[in-house]
Amino acid sequence: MNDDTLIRYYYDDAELSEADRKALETDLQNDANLRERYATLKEQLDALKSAPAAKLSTDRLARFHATIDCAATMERQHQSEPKRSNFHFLSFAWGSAVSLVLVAGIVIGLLIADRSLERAPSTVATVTDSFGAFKRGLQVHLARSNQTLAGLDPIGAAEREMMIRHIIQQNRFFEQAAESNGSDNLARVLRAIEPVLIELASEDLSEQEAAALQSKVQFELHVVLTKLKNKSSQQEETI
Amino acid sequence: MVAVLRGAGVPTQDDFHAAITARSDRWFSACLRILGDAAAAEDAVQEALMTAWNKRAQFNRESRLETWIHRIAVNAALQAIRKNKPRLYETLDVEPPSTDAGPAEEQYRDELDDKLTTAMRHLSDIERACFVLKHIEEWRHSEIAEELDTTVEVSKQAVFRAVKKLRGEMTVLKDAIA
Repeated sequence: MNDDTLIRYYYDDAELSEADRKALETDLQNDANLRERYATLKEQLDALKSAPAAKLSTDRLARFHATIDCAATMERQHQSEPKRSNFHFLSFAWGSAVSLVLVAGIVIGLLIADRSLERAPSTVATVTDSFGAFKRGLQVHLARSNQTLAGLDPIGAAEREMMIRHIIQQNRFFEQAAESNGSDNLARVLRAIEPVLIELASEDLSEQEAAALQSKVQFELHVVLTKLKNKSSQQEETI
Repeated sequence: MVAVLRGAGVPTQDDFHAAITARSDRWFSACLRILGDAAAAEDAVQEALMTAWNKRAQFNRESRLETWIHRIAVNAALQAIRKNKPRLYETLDVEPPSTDAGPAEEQYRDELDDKLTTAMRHLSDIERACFVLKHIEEWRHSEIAEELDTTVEVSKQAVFRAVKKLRGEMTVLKDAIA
């Protein structure tokens, strides 16, 4: 008798006919060697069932909790917004245009503000060092967000929503960090991106609308990222 | 923590947090064992949480919220496998990838401390998925075949192959678990 039959017998979900099952039980009673083989198999498979669950890191557990908090927050925001009967292209276009102008304006303002900061390096050395580290972190976040958006499957609405919510969550961390660093302009840039991301996470969007909005957000992220990279290069040159 | 209520019987935000605290290690384990990749398993659990939250009005209070999310998480993991369908079928007759671990993989293994998952690295994708669904999740072959969009015979063969491969690891496993 081969192991396949013993495995079928072990799983006991009608894979063996009643006749085959009875025949096997008779063999098990009469054949000590077969009985031993089955006992070993059963012991091994039972042991696998009692294997412990994987340990969750605290970070991973926190991310699971954050997923629900983020979903609940988004839902509250969504419920507080006026209900749209359908998609209005003009409203969408206006919203995108306003967001683009806002982001561009804030980035320019940020760069001007940072240039002012550079003029007094001796008094703000420590602040600029830590702010530089923050900016590098932000660059990674923006680059990853851009990659994530570029790789989104336009058909998978639920997946798209989850990934965008994750980006929003990360965005908020950087926004808070920017405020802590005293960079109100940068915090405003990040805040300006969020509504567009929320719009993109909406289930009401068609595939075409989502793709168009996705391109807009990617463009905005790319602009901020490029400005930050250029800014970092300039700082390295002056050092 | 502010609970979001939609009506009597609908799970609240606090209910979800309680379920995550109590059982998310199980959801993650199930997804990890099916997918064999920690990042993919985390994605599956997060997707399941989002789905469960968005569909919580459909939740039947007669069952447990943790169990409901568990099933959604397993389905999310299976959905991830279905996205790699060509790869899934290829792996029926090919050797699994090398188990040599890089630095990130070492860290991942340390974190898991899960002997079963380690042993299942020797299985192909479909063997791992079918074995977990059959042995750990206790699904019937017909259910597995339906969810994986394959046949009952393929599911059976995958489980047999998995059991045979795992038997070599089982003595060590049993000692580790005991």
